[in-house]
Amino acid sequence: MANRAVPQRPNGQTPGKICQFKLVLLGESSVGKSSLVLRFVKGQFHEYQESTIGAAFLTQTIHLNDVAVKFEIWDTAGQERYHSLAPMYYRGAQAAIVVYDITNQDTFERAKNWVKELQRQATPGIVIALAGNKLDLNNMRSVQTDESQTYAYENGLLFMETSAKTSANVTEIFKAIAEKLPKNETTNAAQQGRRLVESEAGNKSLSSCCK
Amino acid sequence: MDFAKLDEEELSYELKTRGIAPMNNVNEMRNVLRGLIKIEVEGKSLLATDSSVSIDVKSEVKTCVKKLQVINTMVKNIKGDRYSEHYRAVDAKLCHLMNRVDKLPAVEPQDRKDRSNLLKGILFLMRKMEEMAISTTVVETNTNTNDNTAGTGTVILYEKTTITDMNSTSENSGSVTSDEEFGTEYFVQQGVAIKSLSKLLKGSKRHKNDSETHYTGLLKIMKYKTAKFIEWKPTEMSIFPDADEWNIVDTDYKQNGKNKNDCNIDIKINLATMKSYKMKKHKKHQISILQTNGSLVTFLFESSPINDFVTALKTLLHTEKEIRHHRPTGVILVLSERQDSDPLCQSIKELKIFPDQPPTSTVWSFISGFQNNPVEKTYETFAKISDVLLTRTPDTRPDQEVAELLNRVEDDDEYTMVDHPPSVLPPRPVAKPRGNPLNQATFYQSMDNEGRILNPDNIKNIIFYGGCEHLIRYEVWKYLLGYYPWNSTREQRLYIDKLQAAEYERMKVQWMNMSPDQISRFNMYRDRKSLIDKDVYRTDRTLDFFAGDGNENLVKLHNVLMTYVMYNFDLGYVQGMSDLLSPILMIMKSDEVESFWCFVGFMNRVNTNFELKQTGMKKQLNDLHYLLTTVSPELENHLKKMDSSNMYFCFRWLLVLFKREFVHSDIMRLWEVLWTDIPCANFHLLICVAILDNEKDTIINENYGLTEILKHVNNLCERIDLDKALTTAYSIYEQLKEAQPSLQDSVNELLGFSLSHSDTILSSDSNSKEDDYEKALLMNYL
Repeated sequence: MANRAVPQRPNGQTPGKICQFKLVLLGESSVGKSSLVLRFVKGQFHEYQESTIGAAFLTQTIHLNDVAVKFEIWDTAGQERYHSLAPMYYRGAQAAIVVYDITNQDTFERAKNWVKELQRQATPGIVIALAGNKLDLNNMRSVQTDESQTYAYENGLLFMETSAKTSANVTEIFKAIAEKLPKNETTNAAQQGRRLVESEAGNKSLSSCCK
Repeated sequence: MDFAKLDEEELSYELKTRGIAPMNNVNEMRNVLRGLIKIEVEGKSLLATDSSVSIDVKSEVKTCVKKLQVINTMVKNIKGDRYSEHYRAVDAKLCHLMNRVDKLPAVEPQDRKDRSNLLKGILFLMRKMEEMAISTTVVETNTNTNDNTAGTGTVILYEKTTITDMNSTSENSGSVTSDEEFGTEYFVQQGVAIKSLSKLLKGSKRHKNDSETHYTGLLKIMKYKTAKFIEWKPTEMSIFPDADEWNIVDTDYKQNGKNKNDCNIDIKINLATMKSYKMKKHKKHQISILQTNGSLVTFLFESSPINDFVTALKTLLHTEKEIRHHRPTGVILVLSERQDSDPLCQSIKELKIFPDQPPTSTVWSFISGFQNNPVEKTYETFAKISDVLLTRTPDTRPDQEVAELLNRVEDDDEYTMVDHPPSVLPPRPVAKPRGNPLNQATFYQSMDNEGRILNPDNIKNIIFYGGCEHLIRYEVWKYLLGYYPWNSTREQRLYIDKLQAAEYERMKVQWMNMSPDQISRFNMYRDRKSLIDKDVYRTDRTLDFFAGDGNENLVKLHNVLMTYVMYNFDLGYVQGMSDLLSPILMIMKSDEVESFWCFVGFMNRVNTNFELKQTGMKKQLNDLHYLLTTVSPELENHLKKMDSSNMYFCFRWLLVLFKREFVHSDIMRLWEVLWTDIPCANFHLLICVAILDNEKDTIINENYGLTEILKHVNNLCERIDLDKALTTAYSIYEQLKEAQPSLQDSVNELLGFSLSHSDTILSSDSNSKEDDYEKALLMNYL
């Protein structure tokens, strides 16, 4: 399922490679998962973004040097009640963003549980990014940056504090993920060097590159 | 209230409470009261209730209880429709009692409790009467003399064996004794009918025109020294002619010599010879049990859900779902009886339940516990009872043999589970255009002068075909969502308003009075509250009704959801519920009480969607898949190829019944159609099929994969033509109805076709559903 390629429509203009990755957003209800996606994909922000029911699917392509990285983004419902559906959505994902709300400590604890679950059950070698969202509410912060930073480091996660409202670090976090993802089996040494954490495991299963 | 039906004591009371001294002449009293009530009904309450009348609460409560009992008996014996003298008399007495209880000066906690119990009793009877009125010809009589006052369908569960008996059970295992004295009752249920008894007995084919005979009786699961049996004994007999209009000819079989012989049959099924069973929960709940000798018995559960019985069976048997072609067939295979050494029994044993306790105390603790917490207590008691199971050697049967036996009865109409290849459907009829919405004039003209809606089915029909004018939704939705019974009078509705307002306040106060300190130690409450806070903030904020900061309607949305948490704490709050409430709050003009009870009615229909394990949703998605396979095999084929046959892309549609797919004005039109339950309770699934059918070409031609299908379906949001979806869904229904004989069992069942021949109990699909639904509602009041 993971690598079921969407039929590539021949596009003569595209030089270089197009890489396609499945990315899933996880995190407690109302931390801003859908808002991050909406900002990233459409550049919009809705103060009253409605809750996600089931799952939403969007795509966005970013360019890294000569590589076009296409994200197939699965945005999920956050409430614990729908937890049992999550495996269906992270199955086969090469990347995940686990989101929490910096003004709410509980959501950070929940995020840690998501990370644990992903490390245990998702595709081996999945690239996980931790996003402390709602940075615009910095004055109401209850999760300290140090704390999350340390946690992320210890668990080999990418980490950024973001704001879907002000768009701070939104594109950046997706970009960081794109950089960390292996682009094909014969990734060159230079690219390897850019990675923060080694990802020798599961390169084969992760790669879904097309020429 | 019809004063002609009240007796002298009652009339005196009515006058006294209105500050008028009773007269000696009954007729005079009636006349005075008739005059007074006219003024009251018009709302010109120049008559203040005379509060100076001193009432002795205790004796008044006693009087009321007695009256309630009298009315209860009367309700049971009502013969004839709502216009009959008998019905009207009961109606009048109930009205009187209602007023009377309402006026009980309840100060002491005990009095308040009495009062509230009385009110519940009255409401129970009101609903019961309504049920009779809806199915106009239904006459429900329970001939069992030991009738429980709680009404029919009460599960009586008790444990009869004495301690000494239990101690001796392990001794002999060889001889089978059928002596009832030594049996233990695991499960007892009254009012269970048996179907096709004639076929069972004589092996004769019944003719379509024959009137089907149902024998109603007492169903038990018994444990004897060496074996366990399902037993059934007839208590009464009913005949259901094969006509739309039907009567129950209810006779006590002892008095009816002709039927006596037919009826004098006990069914006994040894659990060890049970091969498999299959349930049907559509309309009437029923269970068909297949034995090793190939005989098949079907029990019909008149008024009680089948679940308790099945739970009891599962406590005693190891079972497994039959899977064919990777799909469950609905048949449950019996593998073996559970043994004492089973983990389940083992762990129960360790609890050492019945040590030295006399059995009677177990019974009573069960009964009192049952009133407080029926489900838990039932399970608990089942568990306790299984402790006294006997040790038997495992009796596992080879799968092949099971399959063979099942195949042998494949031809039986009640027991088909063949995975039919998709049949070719007849051409789909041309979609009929939608009709005109129900308007104010039609709606109010449909009421009699006391405000009863005379023909609810007619009203529902109009709504099904054309919806409802916005102006009268405020009234009509309360009926559709079960807040008002269709046959309630204006007076009764005023009373319901009053009662339910108090009930709402009571529950609202519970959460409002919680101190921050208390909340800090109440994790489950905090979680629910936090979810509600998060969702209220973002529910339909683009609508004027909820727009802007500090909008009062947000507070109301919050209050109703919080109160629902107190009403159903176990379910709590689940994302999606705020979506279901929002239109109701708008229609109910921000009235919290009315919104709350309408929301409760809506939730009663869909609460399985919000279950923790998603079983309700999975079932619906599965059902949808069945329908799609039948209606549009080529689309289903494509979905299968694309790993999408789990139908999860329809999750949002079903969870909140299309709330996110349509603009607000459309969602109101859609929901009221669905609430009519016409033509069947699963019409919403046909709407899904209709929409998907419309997108079929795009999905197949564009060769959409899993993600694209989800994206495409999500993006249909607010682009679906509602009228087209509704009309198409109905023509698909008609098309399937035409093809009914060739359809899969599961599909027939989903659409309410399967029981269309002999065992139709109520005159129409909608009635049957209404019946179940009303019963569910009724349970809320008790």
